[in-house]
Amino acid sequence: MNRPLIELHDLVKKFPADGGAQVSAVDRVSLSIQAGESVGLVGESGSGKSTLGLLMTRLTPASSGQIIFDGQDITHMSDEQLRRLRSQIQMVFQDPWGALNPRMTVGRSMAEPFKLHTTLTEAQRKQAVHELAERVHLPMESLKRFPHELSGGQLQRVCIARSIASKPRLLVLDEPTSSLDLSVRAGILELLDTIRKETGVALLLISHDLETVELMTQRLLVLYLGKVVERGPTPEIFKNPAHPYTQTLMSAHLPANPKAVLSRLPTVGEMPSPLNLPAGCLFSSRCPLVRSQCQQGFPAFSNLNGGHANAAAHEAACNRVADSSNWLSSLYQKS
Amino acid sequence: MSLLSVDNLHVHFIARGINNQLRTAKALNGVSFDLEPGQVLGLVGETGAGKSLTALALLGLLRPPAQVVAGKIQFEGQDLGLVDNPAGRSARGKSITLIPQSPKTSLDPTARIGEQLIRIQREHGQTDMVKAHARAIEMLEQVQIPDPAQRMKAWPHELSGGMAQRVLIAAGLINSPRLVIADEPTTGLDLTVQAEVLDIFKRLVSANGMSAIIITHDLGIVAHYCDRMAVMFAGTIIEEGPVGKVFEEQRHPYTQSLIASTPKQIAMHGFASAVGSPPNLYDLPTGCVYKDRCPKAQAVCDTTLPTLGVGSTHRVRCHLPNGKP
Repeated sequence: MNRPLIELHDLVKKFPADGGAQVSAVDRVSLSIQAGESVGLVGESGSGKSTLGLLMTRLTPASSGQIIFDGQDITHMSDEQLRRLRSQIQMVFQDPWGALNPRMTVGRSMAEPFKLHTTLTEAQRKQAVHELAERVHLPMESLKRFPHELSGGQLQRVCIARSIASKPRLLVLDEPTSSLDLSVRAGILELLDTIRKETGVALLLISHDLETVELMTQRLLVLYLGKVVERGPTPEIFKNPAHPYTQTLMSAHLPANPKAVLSRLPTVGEMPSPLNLPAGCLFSSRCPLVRSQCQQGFPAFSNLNGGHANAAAHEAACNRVADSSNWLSSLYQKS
Repeated sequence: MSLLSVDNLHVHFIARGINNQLRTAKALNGVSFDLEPGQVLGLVGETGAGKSLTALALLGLLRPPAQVVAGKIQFEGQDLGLVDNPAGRSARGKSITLIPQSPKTSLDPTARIGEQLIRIQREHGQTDMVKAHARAIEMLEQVQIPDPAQRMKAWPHELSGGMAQRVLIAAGLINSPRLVIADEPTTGLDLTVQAEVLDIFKRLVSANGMSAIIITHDLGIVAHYCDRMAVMFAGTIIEEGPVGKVFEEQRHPYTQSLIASTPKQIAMHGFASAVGSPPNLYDLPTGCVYKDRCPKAQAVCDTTLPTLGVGSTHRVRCHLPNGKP
């Protein structure tokens, strides 16, 4: 197996809260992504998925743990060293209106990465911007326009163009399509898919939209309150969600098909405050299958499919997986 | 008799541009639909299609530069008028209510939620404060807010997004309206919370025999919470009918492209061809509004805007529905 492109080891991010308390937004998350792979990160608000994206791109420092990019520890890299690394790891944000400078034309915004990361002359940069615009199917005349003159879909294409300008090897996408219309969304997803296939860039797709993640990724991590509760190949998790939280999440999804039968699992209560987390398994306060063991320490990952290689293993951090009593549906069929 | 009957509603935005010339954006171009008692209608379409504008027009909430230039809105057989007027006002806000989007900004931040729920009742004729107070608690209970008597004293900022949305549902239903319009009721809510909020909404609407219009761009919500659906494009309804039939037959090419854009469909059939840009409301084409983006457009599509058939249960505004004239 090749050396992974990026590896996270027990990554922790703590934020200070009132009264000297600390909130762990990301709590001991480990993950590795191979070159050219597409990995999804799902979870609800407050699960730490965006923070994890910021940590990986070193836009926020980690509290503890290790980030290894291409064999090199980048956890504590200096700003100067990071600057060179930035061309390798790029990010696309949720809100394209907020991600672009309103006082720069779109063309100038797109030339910025070339100024920062290359030694191209102005004429060469112009040529490169044109090629880039063609690449992301952006009309040439829009290069002379300001962000407020373009539609959301076009702006997101500009942001994607900027992010791929420096030929990165990892692209972190934080909800890249959630502010866009359905038909526009499909175009952006197609573009990202094409870019990945053509350039071999690895994608980390952060999303709360299960269908998008299912379509776009090969592997999936499910986060709940800063911790990974389930991980494995995307199709397997969708077919066989093992953690009770994943089961609840997936049952709440509404497929765009009136004939699809919903088998909704009720949720118990609201998500607990990150300042006052339950002991043991973080889902124990809402889990219908909770038992006393679940309040003693965070459960270890149990393997579900016998896959040993990191990429192929389907694992869930639930005590009940070991004796296969983790299925919520059995609970509700009886009553 | 239909509960609500909207006929040929036209709304224009008329304002001066930088060059001091009057410019007209034709935002609604002949919206017509009927809603029967007890029905839930889903209004879908992309940004700028006129979904929220239709709701605001029904509620008489449009202000300049928006102008209702033509059309007729009948509610329980009575003409509501196109602008705010005393006759229409007795129905609007009491018999027709709005559940707005973005729960966190739609509640008054300077008043406790109990007070806000009582205020809505006073505005529409409830003079007995004890009854209003009891009714407010009852509604909070119905939207499954734990410890409702205590929560009456809560401030909006103390509520989570899901809780704030439940309060707005309580506010929208507290005067027992005949018709509730929910504008993107769950945008911004987490998946599990969204499902709970929609379940509560649907249950209360059907238990009280109300009708509802759900404005959304989420086809999943339409598929599972609505009886009928209307697909909007460039200020007109281009297809309207029972949810099951519209999903199955997809008679308008725009409906087809919309449904083909869902990730599930992409996974099965691959990416559909790229879509064009949204129509320019300042300069709509003659003929069909969708023709510039339509893969099946023919010469006939340049002639007139196709009419939306009348009377039939599944109507489509297309010269060549399903590719056939």
